[in-house]
Amino acid sequence: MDCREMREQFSAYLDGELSEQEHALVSAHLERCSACRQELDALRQTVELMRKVPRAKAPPFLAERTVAKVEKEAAHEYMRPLPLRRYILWPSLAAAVALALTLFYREPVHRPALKQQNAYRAADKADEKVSGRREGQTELYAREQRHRPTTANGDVGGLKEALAGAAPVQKDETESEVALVTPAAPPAFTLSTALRLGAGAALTADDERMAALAARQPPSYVLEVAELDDAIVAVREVLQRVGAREIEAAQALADRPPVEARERLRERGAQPPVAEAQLAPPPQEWQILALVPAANQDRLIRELGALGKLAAASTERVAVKEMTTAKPPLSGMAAPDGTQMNFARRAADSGHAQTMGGTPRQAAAAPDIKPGMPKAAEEKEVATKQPLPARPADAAHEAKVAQTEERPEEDYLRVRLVVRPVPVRVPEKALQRRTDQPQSPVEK
Amino acid sequence: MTGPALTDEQLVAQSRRGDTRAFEELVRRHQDRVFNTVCRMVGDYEHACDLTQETFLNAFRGLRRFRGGAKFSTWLYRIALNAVYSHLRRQAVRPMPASGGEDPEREMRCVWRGEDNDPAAAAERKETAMQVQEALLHLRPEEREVLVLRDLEGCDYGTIAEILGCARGTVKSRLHRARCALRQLLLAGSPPVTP
Repeated sequence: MDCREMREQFSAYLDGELSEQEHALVSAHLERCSACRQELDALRQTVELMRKVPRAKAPPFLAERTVAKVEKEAAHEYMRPLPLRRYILWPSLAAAVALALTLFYREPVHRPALKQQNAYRAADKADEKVSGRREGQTELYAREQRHRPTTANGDVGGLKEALAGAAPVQKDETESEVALVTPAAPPAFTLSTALRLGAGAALTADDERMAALAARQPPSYVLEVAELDDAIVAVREVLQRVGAREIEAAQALADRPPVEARERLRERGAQPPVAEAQLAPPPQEWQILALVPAANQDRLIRELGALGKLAAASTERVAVKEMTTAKPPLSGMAAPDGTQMNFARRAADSGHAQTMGGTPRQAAAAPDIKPGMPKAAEEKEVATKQPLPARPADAAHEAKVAQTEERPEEDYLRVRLVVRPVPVRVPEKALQRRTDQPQSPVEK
Repeated sequence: MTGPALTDEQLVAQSRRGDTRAFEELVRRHQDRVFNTVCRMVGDYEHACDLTQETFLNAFRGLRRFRGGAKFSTWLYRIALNAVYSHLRRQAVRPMPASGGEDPEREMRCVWRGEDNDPAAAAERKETAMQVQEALLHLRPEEREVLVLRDLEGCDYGTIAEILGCARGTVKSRLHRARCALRQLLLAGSPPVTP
């Protein structure tokens, strides 16, 4: 090591943070190099000067004021009414979705995705036996659907897709006509399950719903943030600002501490009691699937970029067109209720950027965003504007569709955003830390 | 209710259950270190008061996210530094005032709550503190924070790495750069008080 490299070690040398070996090296160098000795002395003077600075003490009134604020906030927290969305909106939506599926599909998907609720699961299996349904039936149904001839409009494939997340684009050209049918059953609940579980159905099926979602569309963006909870709020605000429609979002049950979650479940009368370990997995990440107006993609990237480290995980941001009579959802956040939306998948890659409007501009606007996985490139050949195969005619549904008046089409991109906390690297403890160096005067 | 024997972790557990007395104890235990950190980072007494409050409020709100993997003080430093960075970003629109233009008494009130009874020593320490504080404010925030955490708060490299979420090697090199820069600043300004 030359003098310059040696000097890089001086700070750690003074702080006693070098390994024994490094320390010996520096000491040996110092013995024969007077220039470095001078340099070390100068550095030591600076450090000593720093340590002469007295610690600033908090003014005496500060603790009192802080605690008063905390108490006020705590009181407010306990007095707050039940959050509307969690206790009323989601359960209602769950029930509505279940109702829609039961009415329109007559093919209810069994089993609430609820690992810990074995009792419910057993009950559902009993239901299935009674009605003569079997596990594999949904898959059979889906396969059957793939080979049905397509019909114009009026299908609920869009609904199905919107609820279930994007179907992976099939690459086989010969299957292009049917490539847009969701191959797997949407994660939903039987009506009886939804009614029985109430809020629990929407809340606790979260994990599996998200896993199913993850399997269907790779994350479009990954946002790394310092504080997950704060970021979730901020991300929702950003999505609201860019006029996005939320399709699905993890409700982050995992974020709740065990006590709180257990109480909440108890309030809902959930039986049997849920094992504690299952209630408190550490929150790894949170994700949301949303439809973002293509025109606002740049803004989305810009605003998300301001919240943390944003990376494009995949260029597969599926463009969809919306023809709907629905009013814009309240606060841009309402999930589709199933009867109002009709999505047709258009393109699946940045290769169609000109028609999609957005991806290349996005690259220019956020140069730090890495290009997507090569997999996406293979998928760009998918024909645009493919009509969705319809499900069997359903008089009630078609009547409803016939009443709808079309609105100018809008371009949306289906974006799956994963938000995760920045991994904090736990530093390896300095095993051979020396203790004979002067320690700093403060800290305990 | 909260005897002095309780550890931070026990107090955190009690606070989580809504016991604000327990949280008050945590505030009293840690407010000086939070205040000192933010005060050195922003160099302004009033702002330091606000940011200390903000830190504890944020900590209270985030208590359920504190999982005990790190020490409470480490976690608190991180929240405090987040508050400082938010503040600095807000301040970025209007550049930091040159310290000459400020009322030095007001600016340095936070610096000056020393324990010295000897007026001469007190005056010298005050002079030193003002010079160092001024130089600190001319450093980049990421250099300032390692200096504050190491030399003013006395954290070891491992703790600093944990607070900042970076590698220990990064702390080492950043701290060295910061000290060299500080020395240059002190040399360039009025001659530093030699120890």
